[in-house]
Amino acid sequence: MLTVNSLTVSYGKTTVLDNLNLEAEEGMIHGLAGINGSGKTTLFHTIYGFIKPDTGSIQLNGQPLSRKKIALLETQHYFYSNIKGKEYLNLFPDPGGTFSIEPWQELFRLPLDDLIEDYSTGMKKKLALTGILKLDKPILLLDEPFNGIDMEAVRIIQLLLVRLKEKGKTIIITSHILETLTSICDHIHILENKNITRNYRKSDFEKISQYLFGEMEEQLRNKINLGL
Amino acid sequence: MNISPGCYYMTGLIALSTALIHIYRKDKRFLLTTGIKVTKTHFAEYTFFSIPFLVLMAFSIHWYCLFILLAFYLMISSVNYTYRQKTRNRYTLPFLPEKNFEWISGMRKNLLPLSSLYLLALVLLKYPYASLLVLWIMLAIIASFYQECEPSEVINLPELPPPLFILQKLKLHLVTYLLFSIPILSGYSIFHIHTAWEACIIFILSLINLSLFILSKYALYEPSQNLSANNLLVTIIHLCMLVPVIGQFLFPVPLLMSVLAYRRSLNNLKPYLDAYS
Repeated sequence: MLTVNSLTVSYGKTTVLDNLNLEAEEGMIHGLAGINGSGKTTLFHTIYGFIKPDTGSIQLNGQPLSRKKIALLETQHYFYSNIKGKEYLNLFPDPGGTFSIEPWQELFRLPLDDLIEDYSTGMKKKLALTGILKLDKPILLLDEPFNGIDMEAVRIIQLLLVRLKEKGKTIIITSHILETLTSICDHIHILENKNITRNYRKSDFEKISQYLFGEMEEQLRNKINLGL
Repeated sequence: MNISPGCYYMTGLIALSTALIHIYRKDKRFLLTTGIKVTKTHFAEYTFFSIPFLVLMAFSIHWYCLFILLAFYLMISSVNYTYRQKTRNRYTLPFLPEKNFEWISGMRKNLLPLSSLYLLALVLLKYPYASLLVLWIMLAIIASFYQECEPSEVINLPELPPPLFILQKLKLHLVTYLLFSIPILSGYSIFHIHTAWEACIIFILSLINLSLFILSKYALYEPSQNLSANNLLVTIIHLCMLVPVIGQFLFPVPLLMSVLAYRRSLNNLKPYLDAYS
């Protein structure tokens, strides 16, 4: 069990996460939904250890979490533009010795002999994802993995994540598009107002829509009354 | 004031640097869209930035170099620019290890100027200082390899704490530079056996400057960011070391800056790599 206890993170005087608690069961896919700027990336960076929290702890099965157990996929990628896709993947070690480039190339239709400069945003995302999956870490933090990706690739990644879950990986994904999460996640956590305010199990996912399109929509309708 | 015979070298160096700047400047397409008189603008810019050198030339016995340089500026500024898709180079140099993505990418990006300069350095081997000067200019291009920051996924791959990460990086890149420059340095030493120590000094200074380029990158490292402003500063310092009289006083600067950049890079890399301590 990955446990985040009473986590508070601030940038200067601005508190981004306030006394946040999260429990992520092993071998499950957890979705983290929230509006832009709600603190999803900050939470990932804190779990990964880029940001030191003001207070709180992050533990895996009661022990402090080691970065060696985590792989993080960042939202934005800027690669050295004049290296080939294959060269990028070769930078990543293959601890299991089972990684073979060809099936991935075929799966994602990646032109691995081309320079990354010629890749589209979606292709770069797929390449980055392939790289971190090659690391074969037990915990995967995927920050907006579906951004800029075509429909077919979204479904491929979803199926791939389900397969990885079955192999015992713990996966936490962020997205601001709820539909991409509901089809594969076992749990969805809503991050708003600097904290995780709602936790939903798969059987309760309908309630998310009720929340988003009921209570929240009412508030939004009032907000967009701009005199139009 | 007489600065002969360095005046010829200086003219050649400034002309070469300006030509490289002109080839690589990224605002040419934009300037075409604005309706600005491009030739005049480029000519004025190059003249303005080389005023200190032009003044030095005017007071030397080779004063005519000044007009040669101005004529050269006019010539390169007048070349009509037409936008076309770049043909990208996919060639990989065999001596580059896969881990050295900075050099693999940089070499592909700058293959034409670097290979031309490399050939020039080999051709000029029998002339005193000429090849070393070209090697020095090549290092200014190599500095541009370090203006981009790799994504956090990549910096984490060696799973090393900051001091070991920096050490490994320096080792890899200094050895690569050694392999790159050894044909020129050894050729120069053969042709100028009595002054081979000068080649050694230039090589040591080059290693210090290369270390500064690498350390500056990690002193300001932010995942997936471009550090072109910082890179420009260290390149200017590197090139200023060639200026007669003033240049020799700049020699300790990169060493001092490297020490400071090393300390700063250790601090800056802490959030990214301290987990491996």
